[in-house]
Amino acid sequence: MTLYSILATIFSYIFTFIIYLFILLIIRLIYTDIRNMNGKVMYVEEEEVPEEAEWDARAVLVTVRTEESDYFGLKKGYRIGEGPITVGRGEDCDIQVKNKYLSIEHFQIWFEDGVWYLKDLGSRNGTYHNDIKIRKITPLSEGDEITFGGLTFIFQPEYGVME
Amino acid sequence: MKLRNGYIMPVLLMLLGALMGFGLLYMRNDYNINIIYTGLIIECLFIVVCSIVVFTRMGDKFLVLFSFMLISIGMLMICRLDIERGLKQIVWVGIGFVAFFGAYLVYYFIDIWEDYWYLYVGLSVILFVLTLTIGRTVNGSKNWIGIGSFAFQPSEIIKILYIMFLSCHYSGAWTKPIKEKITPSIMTAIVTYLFIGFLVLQRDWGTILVLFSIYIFMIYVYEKNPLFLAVNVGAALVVAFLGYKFMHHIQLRVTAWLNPWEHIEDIGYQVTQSLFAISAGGYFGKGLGNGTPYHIPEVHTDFIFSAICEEMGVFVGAAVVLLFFLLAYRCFKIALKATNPYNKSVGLGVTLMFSLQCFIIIGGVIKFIPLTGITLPFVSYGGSSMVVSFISLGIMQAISAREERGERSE
Repeated sequence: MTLYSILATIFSYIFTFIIYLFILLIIRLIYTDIRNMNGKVMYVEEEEVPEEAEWDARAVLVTVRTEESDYFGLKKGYRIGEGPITVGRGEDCDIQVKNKYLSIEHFQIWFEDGVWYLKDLGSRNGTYHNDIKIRKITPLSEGDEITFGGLTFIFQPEYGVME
Repeated sequence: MKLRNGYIMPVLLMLLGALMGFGLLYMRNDYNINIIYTGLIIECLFIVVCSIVVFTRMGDKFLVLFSFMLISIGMLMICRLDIERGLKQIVWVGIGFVAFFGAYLVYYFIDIWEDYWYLYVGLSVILFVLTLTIGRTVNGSKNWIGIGSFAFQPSEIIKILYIMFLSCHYSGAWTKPIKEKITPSIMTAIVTYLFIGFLVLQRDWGTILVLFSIYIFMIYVYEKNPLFLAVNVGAALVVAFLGYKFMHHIQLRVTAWLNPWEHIEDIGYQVTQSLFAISAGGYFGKGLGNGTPYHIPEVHTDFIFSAICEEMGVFVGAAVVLLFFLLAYRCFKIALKATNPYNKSVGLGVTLMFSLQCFIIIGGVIKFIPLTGITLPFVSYGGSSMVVSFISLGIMQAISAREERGERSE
């Protein structure tokens, strides 16, 4: 046995170890990814609850947590009043997300005559309501998904929705 | 960010493994400094591409990792078998990266793919006719076009064109019949059988198997009429039976598959040598450079899996299969999440292409199914295969990027 063949044999063991560790790490990453994809339960920081008397209607925009939502520093959820609430990249938005795929004013949510409404404010990349691109004013109901620029909110009204 | 930290570790592991392997080969080849350069170039390319994919948010980050691990294994094996080929392969990997970003950008920014089914058919037919007229015959298959010293396999490009053609119909973009009777469903069937006819003339059985399996799976997924599927499967069985009955070539393959030991001198030679190599390696392999893979014919392309099993062990062979499995899983996930029906369909087609090619060649070399010569994507030596695999990967990347960023404005 030459030095080389000994080294080569040792290498084959190490390489097997490395490649399985590689696969294991990636499977773990993918697992995290899937869990984030399915786990749509979020927590809103309770101290942000305002006085109930302040608003006629109230809802929560629950953030679906993904790598991206973490990256852009989205909160776990946003409690909103009857609005109109504007979401976008601009400074003046009620919910500002500094994602370059968002328009300065991306979409708007408001409460009117007992119904919550969603409207796209002419954004470049569009707003999706339950994975369907919206073209006009859309009424929202509980559990609807609002997707914009790769980020997703789940709409949870607390009261103010007429069945 | 938490996930990004977790992403560094596998990349480092992959680089470490490749570096150790190339160091070993450096010792083996009389301290030939070119091997170190090869290793360093490939690692730099990996780092650059990984960084670009992660930092420009080009969609799914795992696809490149799987393909790079497969390329590392393949490159180590090719450099060990023949250093000249290894250096050529590096050039192809480089061209592959360019093709990857090219395909990504083109597919990401152009949105009119679903309208030009006739273009894909026309291009494929031109390539077929060129192959048949000015093609070169290598190992009994006339499937190479040479321009000067540069040669490529048109059938590899045709696979992508064919997937894009099928998607035109199955995404629902092309519904208008050509004449009164010829609906798109029938037209796709006609084109499929036309392509298979051309491939029979070229004696390229591997590509026939891949194309036809993609077609059958696409029908299975999309076609609402079960009779159509039944007719196509029936036709496939009839054609296979006739082929077996009257084509000497196919008879030999089946005989060599059923009992290679009786024909160990001639037609069973390839399969038996491959099996000997795999069994010689054992679980952990003989070590890179300790085996005798030169007994296997075509060891750098079709039979590279046997050489990997011999020198790196059955465990690494299983890891290669696992990597393909994960790659297919990621591609399936991208196809499932795609909202644009054309992207969904192309995604499914590319997934099928990767997984079927892996199944057909690995199944062939371990005597699980009759052997048909075809490359193992990312691992085998070969320019066209590498570039086309990278183009497919670029398309998948573009599809996933569109999803993650939200579909662009119309």
